[in-house]
Amino acid sequence: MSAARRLAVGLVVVAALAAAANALAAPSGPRAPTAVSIEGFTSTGIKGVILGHIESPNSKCLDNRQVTVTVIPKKGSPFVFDVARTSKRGGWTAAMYLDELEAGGQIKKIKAEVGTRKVKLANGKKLSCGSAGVALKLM
Amino acid sequence: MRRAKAGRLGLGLAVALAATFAVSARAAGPVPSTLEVIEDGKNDPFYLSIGIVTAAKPVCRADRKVKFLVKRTGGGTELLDVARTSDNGGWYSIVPLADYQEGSVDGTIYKLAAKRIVKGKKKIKCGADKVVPS
Repeated sequence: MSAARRLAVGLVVVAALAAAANALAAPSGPRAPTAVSIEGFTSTGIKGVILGHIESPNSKCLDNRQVTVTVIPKKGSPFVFDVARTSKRGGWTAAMYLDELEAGGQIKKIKAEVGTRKVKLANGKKLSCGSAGVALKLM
Repeated sequence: MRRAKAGRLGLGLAVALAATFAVSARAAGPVPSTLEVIEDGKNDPFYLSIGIVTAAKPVCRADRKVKFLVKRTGGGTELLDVARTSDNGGWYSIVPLADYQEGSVDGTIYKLAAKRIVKGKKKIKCGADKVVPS
């Protein structure tokens, strides 16, 4: 057997072992989708506040999810408004000083994105909560 | 003789310094954190509460727990939601109106839980706060 062929066979064996180890280490658990929505905007006079909530058919996917809120201005680069965290029932708020927000110029879009999260279940399996995103176009 | 005197002086200074540090460490209490409720009320089919947590240290603004409780007639309280603050301190609680109105409501309470952060040898305590809207 040539050296190149031995190397190829070795690589295939290593890849197969890695796949088998992965399958053993992470038993496939249930999955639940997530949807995110932006509800509105309010202000404290000093800070601008964006409100929203997430929804999922599995209530375990609602708590403690990170929601990254990004502002896309009409001119210039997008910037992160805030990183929000959801309540037990899925509500989230992002806040930023109004003067910092105004410095970014006129807003074109607001984006809210929630990442995936794995929640450990009582049976040892992990519930996989899906990611989601929404964009709100401003007039 | 002179060396012994200098040694005693050095030891005295070290003791005084250690005592000062001990007193200042004991005096440094938790970082004051303020819970503010911007808006709260019924917005059918939900009861909504929006607020901000402010604190001098950013770590005391982010990832704080805000408990939303209702006082029920008869003296009991019921926990309806636990909100978590954003990196900049924002929090939002959204509770179905049916859960809020399940028993008779005497009032609402918002409680900001205290938080302890350990970063290596550094320990930061973030203070608790409470708001009872009138």
